[in-house]
Amino acid sequence: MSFSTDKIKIERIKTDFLIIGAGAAGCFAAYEARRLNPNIDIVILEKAHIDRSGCLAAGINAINAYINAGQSPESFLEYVKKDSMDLIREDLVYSIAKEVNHAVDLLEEWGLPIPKDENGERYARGRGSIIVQGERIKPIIAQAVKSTKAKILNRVVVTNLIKKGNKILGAYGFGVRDGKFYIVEAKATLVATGGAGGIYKPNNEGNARHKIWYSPFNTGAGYAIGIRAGAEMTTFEMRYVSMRIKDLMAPTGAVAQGVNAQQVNALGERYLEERYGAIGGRQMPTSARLLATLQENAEGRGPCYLDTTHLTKEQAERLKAYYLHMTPGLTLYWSVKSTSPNNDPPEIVGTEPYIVGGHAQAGYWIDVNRKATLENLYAAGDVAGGAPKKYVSGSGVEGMIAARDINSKLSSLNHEEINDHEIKEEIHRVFNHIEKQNISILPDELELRMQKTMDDYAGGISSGYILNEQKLSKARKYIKQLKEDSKYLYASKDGVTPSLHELMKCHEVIDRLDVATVLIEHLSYRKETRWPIYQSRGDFPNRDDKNWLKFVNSVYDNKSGEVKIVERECKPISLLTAK
Amino acid sequence: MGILIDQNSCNGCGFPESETPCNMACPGDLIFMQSNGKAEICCNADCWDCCACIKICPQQAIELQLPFEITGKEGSLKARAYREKTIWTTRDANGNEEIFETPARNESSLKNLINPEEFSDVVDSYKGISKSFTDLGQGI
Repeated sequence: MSFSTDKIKIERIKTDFLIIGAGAAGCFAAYEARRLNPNIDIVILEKAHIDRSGCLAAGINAINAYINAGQSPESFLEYVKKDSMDLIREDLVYSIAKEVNHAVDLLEEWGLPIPKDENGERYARGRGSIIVQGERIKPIIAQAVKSTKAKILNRVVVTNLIKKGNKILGAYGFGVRDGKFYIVEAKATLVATGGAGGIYKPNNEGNARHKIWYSPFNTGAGYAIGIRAGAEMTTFEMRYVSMRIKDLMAPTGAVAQGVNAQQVNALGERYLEERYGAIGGRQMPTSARLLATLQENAEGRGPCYLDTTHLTKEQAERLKAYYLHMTPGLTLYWSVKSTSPNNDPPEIVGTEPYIVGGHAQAGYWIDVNRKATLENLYAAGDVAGGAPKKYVSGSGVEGMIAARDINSKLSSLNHEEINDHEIKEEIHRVFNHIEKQNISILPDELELRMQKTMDDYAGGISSGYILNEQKLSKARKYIKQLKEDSKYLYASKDGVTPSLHELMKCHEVIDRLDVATVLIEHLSYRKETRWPIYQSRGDFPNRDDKNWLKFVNSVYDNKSGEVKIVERECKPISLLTAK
Repeated sequence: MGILIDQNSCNGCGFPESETPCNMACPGDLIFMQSNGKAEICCNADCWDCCACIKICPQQAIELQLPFEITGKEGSLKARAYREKTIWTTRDANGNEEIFETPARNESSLKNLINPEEFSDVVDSYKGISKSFTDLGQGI
């Protein structure tokens, strides 16, 4: 090994409050911390650029956690609980419900266009959702953060938390543009990155492989740094699989709720009501609507559609424009085919599984202040566990809650000395992949193999999302092997020239392998089927409230590579006292 | 594929003296500057079709194209971000164009706190396009 860590330039920064990830959760946290405390020093580390990073890069056309007229925080909680088969952290979900409208008011203040009817009311799209014209939402949020004068470091890939005993002292990272190694020491650290896409083989292949619903650049770093530091994680087994518009994998809400398009099969039947009335018809939980769709295909009545043929030509044009706020490729798709939703209704399919706490509930085990199980560490948004269906507005709320707690404790928190040897070790771990070894594996190769392994053995699309113990034990064995192999990763696209971009891709694979390792143990431990599709056990096909209405949590030991599972009680809150 | 950067239209935006908008905007770190000073995408298969680079390019040198395996024939999407709106143009294989306009941002209560220079997501040379905005709130 000729690589020397001495060649790497080091940038050392000290701050009060470190935010990892400049998405909704991180940005709202920075805004709230500054609002409460004009003197707090804030540093934000962002893998891309704050103006256009993560899930919101293309924009959004609805905000899906909102209390509309006639609804209440209590009814929101009831809905999330029912849709998540009764197993949620009610304290977390309720704390989100109470403030989602405040988060939306802030977004509107910052400049987000939200259309209103003649009475000045925001347009409801379904019970818990409103229409927004959010193509520019990310730059708008970014401007609000820039007004706080927080120090924003763009293009820094976070690689690990800095840990001493049970305490988190900040984070390490590297600059994907400047090649520097960053050491950010902080009194408190908030992990606010996106979830993990790209663990499973996606719907499309080849040049279309990144036509996926979730941001392909959200690769689970926020989970992975917590896993490696030994933070307790919860409910990774509740994966998120979503029903999407085929090919472009565009969200369906604008069609299903926006223009009330019904799910129809190839025979033109409204199959949810006509064939699945016994499990709730159109009122069935989100994942069951996809399950019914898969069933229609399995029984030879596919493809299935969202029926938009009732739209007028003008409505269809508006729908095309509406998608420009979120999935512009879909608008192009209709144009290229010279069709329109009124004569070419979108086909619906299931995506590959994602690990994402903003939709399902995989993430850090946190208290109601969003504090994780390690000292001075917080989590909010997609990486925070236990609170599904929080989306953009709920992620913002979680960021604000964390910022308040951090601000209130700031005077009692201190910086601590970091061990020099540890810094050297991390620099070596991060940068050694820019040196070619006698065996070399390219990040794209390892990613493909990881995705294939997970698809084959851990309930991907090709197996109808079905899990069993025998397949999971193969997944466990192969992912362990791939983790071993990851030491041969060479940060190069062509196998000849190394680049910082490919170094980032090396760490994106390494991070996802750690997420997959924990995910497999969670999937294996829960011996029931609680969330069909998200978590469907072929060998334990029924829901078992007697034994399994509880949380499956895990703590990873970075030295031994062992995942220790711990069970946690599911505690309903009393709404009477909570009010 | 994802985006096509027209190498004749790209003028490099003053690189290397200044950061270029497309290179800054890409959430996937996919756009790089070549030794001839023009921008290029390093791996089109990694593009998410978010259009951040397309909207911000002052030369309108970038367009979105769908992968052959998905649509099978050519067509493209161009867009341009202005202060209050974004103008989009789709083109099918026969060259038929459709123009869309979407609202982008309202006046912000923070406007006094932010230097207008910091609004880095906007192309400022908007001269006006006649097609009016349809209110999307109604009927959707």
